[in-house]
Amino acid sequence: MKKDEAHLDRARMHWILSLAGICLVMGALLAIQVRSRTPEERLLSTRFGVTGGGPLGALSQVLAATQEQVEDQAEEIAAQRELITQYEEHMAKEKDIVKPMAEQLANAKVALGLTAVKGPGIVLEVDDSILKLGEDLHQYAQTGLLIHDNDLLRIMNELWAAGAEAISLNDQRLVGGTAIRCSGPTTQVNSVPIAAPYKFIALGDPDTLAGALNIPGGVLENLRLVQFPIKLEKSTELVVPAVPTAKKFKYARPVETSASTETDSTSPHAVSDTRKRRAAGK
Amino acid sequence: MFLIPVLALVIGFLLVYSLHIDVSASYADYLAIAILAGLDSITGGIRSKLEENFEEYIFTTGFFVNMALAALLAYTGDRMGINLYLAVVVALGVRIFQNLGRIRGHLTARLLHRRLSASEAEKI
Repeated sequence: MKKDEAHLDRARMHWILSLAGICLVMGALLAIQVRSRTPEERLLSTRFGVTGGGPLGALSQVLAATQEQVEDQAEEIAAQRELITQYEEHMAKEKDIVKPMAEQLANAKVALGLTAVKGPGIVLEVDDSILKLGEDLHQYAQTGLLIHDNDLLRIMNELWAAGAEAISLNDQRLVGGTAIRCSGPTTQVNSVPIAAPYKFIALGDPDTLAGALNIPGGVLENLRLVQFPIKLEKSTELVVPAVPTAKKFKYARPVETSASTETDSTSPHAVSDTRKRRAAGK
Repeated sequence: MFLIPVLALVIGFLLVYSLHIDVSASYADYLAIAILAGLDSITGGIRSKLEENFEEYIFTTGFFVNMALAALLAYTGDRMGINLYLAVVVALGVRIFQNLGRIRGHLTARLLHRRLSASEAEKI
C-alpha cells in the first residue's frame, strides 16, 4: 500500500517536471518573440539610429532630433543676417575697396545657389504617362509609367551638360550637393519631398538647352515613346529660386595654398603632422 | 505543485529576455507559429493528464516535433506562394481552444465532485 503511494507520487512528480521543462523552453521562445522588433522599428533604428521605446517612442526621438536641427538652423540664419548687416555697414564706409570683393561674393553666391537668379532659359514640364493600366499595358509595366528619380537625374545631367547656369526642380534649386532620390511615392530633392508633375526651370541659352533635351535618342525621346506628357517652352525671363539653407562644411576644409606647400618638409608643422599620422596608423 | 511549470515559464522568459536575442522579421512569423504549436502541445498534455491517458514520450517529442512541423509547413507555404500560415494558425487555434475547453470541463467536474463528496462526508 505504502509502496504504491510512493510510486504514484513519483509518477505525478515526473509529469509535472516534464511539463516544467517544456514550459521553460516555451518561456524562452516567448521572450525571443517579445524581444524581436517589427520591421518599422528596425527601419527606424538603422535609418535614424534610434532604439527602444516602440515605434512611437522611436518616432518621437526622430521628431525631437529634427526639431533640434530646425532650431540650430534658425540660430544660424539669425547669425548670418547679423553678419550681412555688418558687411553692409562696412560697405557704406569703405565703398571703393569693398566693391570688387562684393562683386566676387555675388558671383560665388550665384554659383552656390544662395541667391535667386533670373534670365532667359527653358521651362520643362513632365508628368506620369497617360497610358492606362490594363487597357494599354500589362500590369508588370506599371512602374514604367511613372517618372522616376533616374529620369529626373538624366534630365538634370543633360541640362548641366548643355550649359545651364541655374536649374530648379519644382521650386527646389539644384546645386552641387543636391541629391534627387526616390522615396516611395514622392521624390526627394534637397530633402524636400516633391511629386509629379515635375517642372524644371533652367537658365541658359534657350535654344541650346532645348536642343540638348530633344536630341534624337535622348532623354525626352525615350519618355515620349511611352507617352509621358512633356511640355517644353523657351522663355526670355525666368526666375530660379535660391536654396533654403547653405551647405554646412563639417569635414571638408580648404587646402592652404602656396605658404604650406613651399615649406612642406622642413617646417616643424610638417614633421609633427607625419608623426601624428604615424601614431594614428599604429 | 502546479506552481512549478508556471515558475519554469517565468524563469525561461526572464532568462532569455535578458539576453536581448533579436530574430529577424522574416523568421519572427515562423517563431510565432512555433509558439502556437507549443501552446497546443502544452494544453494537450494537461488535457491528456486530466483524462488519465498522458504519455510522457508523446508529450515531450510532440512539443518539439509539432513546433518544427508547424514552422516548416508555414515556410513551405511561403515558398509555394500559398498562405498555409493561415491554415496552420486556424488549425492550431481550434485545437488550443478545444484543449482549453476540455481542461476547463475536467477541472470543474473535479471541483464539483470534491465539493459533493465533502458535503456527503459531512452528512455521514
